[in-house]
Amino acid sequence: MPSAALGQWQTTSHNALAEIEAAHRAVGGHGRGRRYATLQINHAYTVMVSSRFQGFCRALHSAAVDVLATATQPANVAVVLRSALMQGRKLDFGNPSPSNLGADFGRLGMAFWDEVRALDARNDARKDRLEELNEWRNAIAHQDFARVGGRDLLHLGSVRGWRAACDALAISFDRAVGMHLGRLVGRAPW
Amino acid sequence: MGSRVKLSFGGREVVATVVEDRGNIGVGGRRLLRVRVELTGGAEPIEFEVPATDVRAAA
Repeated sequence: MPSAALGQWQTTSHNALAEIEAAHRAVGGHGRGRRYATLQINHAYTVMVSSRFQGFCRALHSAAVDVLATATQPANVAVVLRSALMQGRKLDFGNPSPSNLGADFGRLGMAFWDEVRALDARNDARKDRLEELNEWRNAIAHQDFARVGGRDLLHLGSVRGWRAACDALAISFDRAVGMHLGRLVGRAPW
Repeated sequence: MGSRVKLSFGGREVVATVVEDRGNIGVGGRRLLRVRVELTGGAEPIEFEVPATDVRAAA
């Protein structure tokens, strides 16, 4: 059984992203006008994939902290543990970059990326795609494309590739965090 | 959002502000709230998440 965070990613977030796909298909016309409109949609799609994936990762982290705090006694210590594990959480302010993910989940005692890689060797390449997604997200948000080759040109296929990487990583994150918590508290957390 | 609630923190009761409803993502699908606790002595406030069942409305 997946976490509630993964459930939301696979339903609510997928539905929202499907609406962007539908908007892309709905753009009519030909030539430069259509290319400009679809480029703007591709940019919006990129930001949305990144922000939705950030929401998933943040929710997974919240759920993990709740599992650890629930397994901690006395309750006075549990609430202090909650504050310590969440203070300055990078996912509250920053992109779901490999570095931020490793730092936030590392605070739970995980060798995060080692455990994610151990589940599926393809996660190494997906991690690179996640980094690329976040570089594009920043380029679009700041309208500074120097770090992504100096051009704002972005094709739908690229965004779909990043989204597919996020889909696969979400499943591995959910499993890796669940297995780690299971080892810590002695039972499957979800 | 913005509700004032009481909760136990550090062995004493404190008043906190609810800054975000995180939804039913906690253990067994329970609802989590993100709260901000103002610390004394000019320290930066801290934020963390607690089960909704662990807080009660402040007067």
